[in-house]
Amino acid sequence: MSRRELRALRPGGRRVAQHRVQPTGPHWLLAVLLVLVTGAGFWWSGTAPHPTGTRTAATKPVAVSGRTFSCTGGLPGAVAVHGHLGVPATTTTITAPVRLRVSAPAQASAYAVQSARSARWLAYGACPEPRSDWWFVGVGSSHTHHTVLTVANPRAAEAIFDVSLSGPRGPVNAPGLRGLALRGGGSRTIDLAKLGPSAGDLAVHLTTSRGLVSVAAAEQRSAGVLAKAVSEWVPTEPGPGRHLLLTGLPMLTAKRATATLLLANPAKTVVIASVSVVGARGTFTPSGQKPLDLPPGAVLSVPLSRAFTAAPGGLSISAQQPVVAAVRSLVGGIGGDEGYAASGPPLSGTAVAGIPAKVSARVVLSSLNATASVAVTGYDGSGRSLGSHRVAVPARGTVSFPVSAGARSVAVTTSTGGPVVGSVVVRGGHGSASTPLASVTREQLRPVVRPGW
Amino acid sequence: MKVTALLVSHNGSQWLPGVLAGLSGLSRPVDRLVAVDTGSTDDSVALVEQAFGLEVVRLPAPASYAEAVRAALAAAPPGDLAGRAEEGAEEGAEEWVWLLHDDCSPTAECLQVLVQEVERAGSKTARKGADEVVAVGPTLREWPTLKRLLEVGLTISGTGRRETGLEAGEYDQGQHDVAHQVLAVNTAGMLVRRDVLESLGFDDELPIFGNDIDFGWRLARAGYATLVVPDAVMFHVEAAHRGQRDSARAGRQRRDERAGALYTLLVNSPGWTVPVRAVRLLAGGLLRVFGFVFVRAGAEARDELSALGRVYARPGAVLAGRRGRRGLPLLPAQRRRRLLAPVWMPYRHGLDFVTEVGTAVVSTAREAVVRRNSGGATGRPEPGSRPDERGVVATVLTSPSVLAVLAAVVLALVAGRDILTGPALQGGALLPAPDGVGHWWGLWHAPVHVLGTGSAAPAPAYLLPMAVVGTVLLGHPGWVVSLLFVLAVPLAMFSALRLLRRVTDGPWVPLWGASAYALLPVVSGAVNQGRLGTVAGVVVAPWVVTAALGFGSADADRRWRAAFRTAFALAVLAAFVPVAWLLGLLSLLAIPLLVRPLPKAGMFVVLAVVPLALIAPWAIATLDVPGAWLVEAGRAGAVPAHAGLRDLLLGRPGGPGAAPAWLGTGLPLAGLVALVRRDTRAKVAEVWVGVALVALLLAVVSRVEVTLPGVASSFRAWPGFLVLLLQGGFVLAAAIAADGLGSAWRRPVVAVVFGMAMLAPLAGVVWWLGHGSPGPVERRAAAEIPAYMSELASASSLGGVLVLTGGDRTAISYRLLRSGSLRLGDDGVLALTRPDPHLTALVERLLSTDLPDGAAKLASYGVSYVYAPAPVSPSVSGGLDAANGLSGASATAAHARAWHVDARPTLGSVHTEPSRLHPLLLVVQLLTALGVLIGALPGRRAA
Repeated sequence: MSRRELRALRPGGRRVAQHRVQPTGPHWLLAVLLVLVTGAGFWWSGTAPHPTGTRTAATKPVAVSGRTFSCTGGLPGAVAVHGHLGVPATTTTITAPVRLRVSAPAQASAYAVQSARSARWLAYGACPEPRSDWWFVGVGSSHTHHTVLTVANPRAAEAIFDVSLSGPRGPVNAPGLRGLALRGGGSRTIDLAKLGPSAGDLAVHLTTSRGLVSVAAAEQRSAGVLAKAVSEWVPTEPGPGRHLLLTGLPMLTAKRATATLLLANPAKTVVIASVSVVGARGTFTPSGQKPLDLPPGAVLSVPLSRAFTAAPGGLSISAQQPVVAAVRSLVGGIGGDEGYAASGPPLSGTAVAGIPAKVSARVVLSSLNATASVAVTGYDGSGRSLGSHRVAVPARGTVSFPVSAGARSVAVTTSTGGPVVGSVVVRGGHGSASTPLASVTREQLRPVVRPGW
Repeated sequence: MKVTALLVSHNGSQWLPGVLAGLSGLSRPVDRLVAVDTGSTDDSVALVEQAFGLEVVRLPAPASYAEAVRAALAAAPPGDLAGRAEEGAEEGAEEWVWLLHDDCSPTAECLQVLVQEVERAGSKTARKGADEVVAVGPTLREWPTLKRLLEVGLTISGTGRRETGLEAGEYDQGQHDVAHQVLAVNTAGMLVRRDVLESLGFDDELPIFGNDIDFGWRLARAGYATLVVPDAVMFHVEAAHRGQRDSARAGRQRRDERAGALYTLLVNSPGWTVPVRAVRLLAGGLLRVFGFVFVRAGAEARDELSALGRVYARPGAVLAGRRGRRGLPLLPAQRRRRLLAPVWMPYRHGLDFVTEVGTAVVSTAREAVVRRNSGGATGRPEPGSRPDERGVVATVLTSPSVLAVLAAVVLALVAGRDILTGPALQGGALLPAPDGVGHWWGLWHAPVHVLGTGSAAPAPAYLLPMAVVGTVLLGHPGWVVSLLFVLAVPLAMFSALRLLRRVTDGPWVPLWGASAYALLPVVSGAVNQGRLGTVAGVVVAPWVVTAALGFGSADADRRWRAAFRTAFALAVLAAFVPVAWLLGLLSLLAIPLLVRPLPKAGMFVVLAVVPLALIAPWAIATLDVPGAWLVEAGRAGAVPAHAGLRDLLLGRPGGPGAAPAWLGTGLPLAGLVALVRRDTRAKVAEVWVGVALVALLLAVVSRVEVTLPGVASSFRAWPGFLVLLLQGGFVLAAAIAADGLGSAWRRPVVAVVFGMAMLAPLAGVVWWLGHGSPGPVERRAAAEIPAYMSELASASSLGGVLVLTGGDRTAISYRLLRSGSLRLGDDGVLALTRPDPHLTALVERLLSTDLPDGAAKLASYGVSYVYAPAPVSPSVSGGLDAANGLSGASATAAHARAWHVDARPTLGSVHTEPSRLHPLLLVVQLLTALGVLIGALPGRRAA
């Protein structure tokens, strides 16, 4: 063994006595073995599967624990009909906003509607549930057509909200509608006419910056200053959308009946919208109906020809950008009844609505794409079923189905086909009114929350 | 005057002939000789009786010196001498007693000079009224006739040290020639007036040692003077002091001397100083014990402790001693100043000690440098070469290693130009360093942390070394991080050079190896990804190997020191890269194959257990979290990285900021080819054993999915350290094989490998300089949350900020920040902290339901603000806008959202229960650190 090798083998450095390591076995065999072991280690490491872990969902479904209805009234003689399927319906006279809390499991079939009537008119609408974003199209702030918003805060904490108005010429400046505070459990009314009269139809957009509120818009309309007024709740719009389907249009067969399509364009650019009719046998665009140009930030009122309203049907609106739409009808000429049809959400599962006393009710259903089968069940005042009827909704068509006489609530359950959008239309005395059907929310998607890293 | 010589003997037969000869040859003979023996077992008695024909007074064995003197005086009453003196001229002359030991031999003139001095002093006293001289003593020199001085008078310092006023090894050149007053003289050769000796006597509490100083002190207090007469010379063995006397008391002389000194100080000092002095002596004694332990002088430490115990456990003896001296007046201040050692004397000794140590260290270092420069690893200068006589500075500055490291520093500054200055270094796996080093110390010692929802998890082990360095760097934690990341290459180069110079001979091979190794953290992307663990690990790893080389020493003490040093370096390494401890355990299995002679079992225990104990607070608390042992320092799973087989082979563990893999082809190739050379194959194979172990560990680490309690998803540990260690192994193997290759590299195959191996560091440097710091590590301000929230959060633990991210297509993640952004070290704690499920549920419900007391519950976690950085998901903004008790706040950044929690924050829901084990583990850690320091440093005997 050379001196150099001796030196190399000595691990202890300079002051260290020299130790000779005598490896056992042939060196080259050991070397090959070591290289093989090292290579195996590298191979195992380099071929480890990738990536690791499991992807987590962004949301998860959670059963809804309860619902809160706010029957805010706002019209003379308003009553609330509320309850849930299987129990007798309750009728409550609304003198001040009524807060109705329904817990699970009753909430799955709970309903609450408010109605008011006189000899000449009938008003009807669903009691709203709290949310943060509200749209109303067709409200007014003139002496002959003025709307009072009733904002209720059914929750415990303070709510802060902004109201913005837009009219035929675009946004309407109305002072004092920003940062409005509403204590928990409180309510307040906003009389649009007092804010500053303006002509034409308006759109209201109410958003909360804190908390959630329930809003109802009650309006009174008269043909002139001296004429008697008729009243109605302006229905809540689900929000701007590029494809809207309005159902519950009154059949304007009478001579002195008019209908107006009201379109609000929240965008800052002109939006082109096309309108077509979802009739009994299919969807069509009346001849001569041209696409509509919606001015930016403004409300457009378009009189609807009879082509749209002669038969029971829905109104389909497609726009380049999200718009809000409603149809207002006036039946009976001066002093006649006023009614609204609003766009509704596609139904899934069961939708329940209350029906005021002494009215006849129909369910109007439109299918967006395919033929759909829907079960309509009426319930009497004691909560008993009046029989279930299976209704077929033609593809891209509309069907109007009468609810059993004496029913105080109706449940509409979708089974196959669709999707389906629907309304409940009630008629009594000289008036009629409608409210869109909305499915009961049994569970909601909550964002999945996890500790960050 | 008459002189009675009083000889006390105890097993002194080896010196007695000399003593007796000296007594016989005196120019002024003694008038009477009394001998007393304290139970000798040798022929001491016979020797004395034969020489002088007298009867020796015999006392039983453990008789004290005081007893012996008393017995001797009783056996030789004054009347006997007076009767004999009737024939002489002097009537009624004073009788003086000359105290002699069996190990001291007077010169012929000794007694004559002493007697002359007594007579001269007597006449001087009569003339000037000075203090009456009742005791004189000679100069003591080394036995038998050496010139080295032992004592020229004695005194005692405030710490109980026996002061002679002489320098160590001072020669008697007549420099001490004037008789002068001293506090005391040694009993060996003391000539003392009999009546005074009888009346004052020696203290029985001081059986052998220290009785001379006590006696002199009492003489002085009684108003007498003690003179030392330099011209009188006595040779003294100091047999008892040096432990050369065969005696029952042998072996405990240090303890007895120390106890005697403490006792002497306590009984003779003024009463009002005693409490302070007692405390000071106790504290000083304990400090000395500590110091002795520190230099591994166990016997000295034991004696010191035992002396303290003897004195302080028996306060009654001190009180009795003080009572016995009650009749004696205190020393006047003037005489106290003259006779006792000055107060600064202990400090001067301390300064002398420090100076000596410093000088020794400097000269040792210089020798080492000179030796390395001239003789390489062999440590022997080349034959015929002249010893290097340049100065230390010149020697150091012309060393190729120093120049190489300096060059690396310059290159590092150029390459790190983007990250030299600015706000905190962060990004990738690196969190910004805290503003003060107190943050790290706090994390280290606190048993519970107000981080997130509160945590009793241990701080990461690397915080202690970081905090120590940060404290040394004037309390700037940011400097520690900058130092590591900017100067990673020179630091790694320094440690690698140190290792390679010890295993190779030539000057160039270590330089190549160190350069190739030092560039690894940069070219692998570890620096750019902020991999604190890998960067620190690459710097520390060569130190572990260097320390382990000490196992090859033949000297058992050196091997033990190597064990402690290796264990310490391994602990530092494991603090940053815990998997290194596992590697250390595996390596223990290989030690029996590699090291001869086989290390003792205790060394194995030290290597296995001590690193664990040094990181005990972290290690013990993470025993139930095996994943924590696989991840390194830095934010776990922060940078997604995946490396394939080719990347791993070429030293690229995956992730951004790495140089092209092909640059590193030369290193594994060179490591493989190193096995070809026959004469170094054995040594290279040893390195390959280590490489194979690391490769196996790498395979395990790469395949295990790590889950940590505080990290939301499982991940694979970044294998950076092990991958770079493998490359380091290739470098080491290649360096050993290339050492002394001579002209063999001209062979084609070798030349190709040689060229590729050279390419690795050269191309690496070019890439490094060209790319600088591509990130993700960069210097930027920590702006995770708005500044006003950070300020509030830093000021109070009630200013917590809940940060919400994600929500659009991913789950919503929340983090609860306590003092602004997370800082380096916080991540380690949070990774081991199980998130509070109540808070998760609360945030979820807050975002989706009407929770009447949601804000109050959030406030009970000490949350003041909720912040969502841009882009904010509608589910977050909508949920929180609708939530009860939250109001909007300024978010400062565009598209970000912030909410203020209206309820008053408390820490009611924060986990505040401390870890009970933590204080105990800290004590274990500190004691082990102390033990390792003692074990790793050269001991007193070894020095």
